[in-house]
Amino acid sequence: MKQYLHDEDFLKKVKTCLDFNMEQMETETLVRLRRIRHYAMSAGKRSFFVIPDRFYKPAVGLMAVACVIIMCVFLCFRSPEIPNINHMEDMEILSCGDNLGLYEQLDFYSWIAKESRHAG
Amino acid sequence: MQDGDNRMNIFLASVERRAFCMARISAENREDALDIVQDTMFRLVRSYGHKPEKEWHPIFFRILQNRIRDYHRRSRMRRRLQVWVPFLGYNENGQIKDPMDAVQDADALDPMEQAAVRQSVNALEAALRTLSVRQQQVFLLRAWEGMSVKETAFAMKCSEGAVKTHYSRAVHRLRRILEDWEI
Repeated sequence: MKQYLHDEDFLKKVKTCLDFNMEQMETETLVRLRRIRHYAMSAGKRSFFVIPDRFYKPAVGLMAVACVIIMCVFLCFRSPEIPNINHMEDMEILSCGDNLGLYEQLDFYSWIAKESRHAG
Repeated sequence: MQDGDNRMNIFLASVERRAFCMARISAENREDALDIVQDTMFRLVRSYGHKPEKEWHPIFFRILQNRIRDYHRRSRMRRRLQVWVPFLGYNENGQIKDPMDAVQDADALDPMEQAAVRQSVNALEAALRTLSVRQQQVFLLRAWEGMSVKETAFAMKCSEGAVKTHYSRAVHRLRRILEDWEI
């Protein structure tokens, strides 16, 4: 009991001493503390959507890995480029049994026809 | 929302000086202590501002204790680095050397006068610094901040039994060191 009262007295003295120390704080420190508080208030409010720090880095990492995987999958498994087959006329020409020489000279014949029309 | 901000501002104003003193006793450096307090305030506002007001106090001190522990962890790492890379500009406390530290403050009180006034405070702070970080934190939260064992356990992220043990050891050690101490 005596020890307890002794401790109580000691702790009271410690508290008084610490309070005194706090009251004697330099003006510069007080000003900086006030500035820090205003900064914390304004900076804290600015971050509307808050992700806790412990989740932030893993989340960013996971997102980056997911993006890389998606890109790889897209590049590896995309279907090979199929040539645009809208040249049905070409196919018809190739499939019919006509002499291909006629078609090879088709541009020349067209030119002659055009020239003769102009001349006429 | 404006009212909430105002209440948060009042709360932070009510704890800032005490938090700074705790950080300074532990960090032994004003700039580091200010950094610790700033980080603590910022985290409280950003992550716990939406919590009920009565929860701010224990959460604030929990964040503060975490920041102080982080600070000591980083300091230990710096000291280890200094062994391998001695040309890094750290002093014996693991803090970066600042040439301005060597310049005397012209506005400061006379050293003798200052020493007379602050003798007991310095003795107490020196004694507190001889405690382990955990004992120091428990002691300051219990004896100065007036937190209960349960609140201290929450702030320290440890069991109530551990708080009692740390507190008891801290009190006994301080009493032994400050045997003839007077204020």
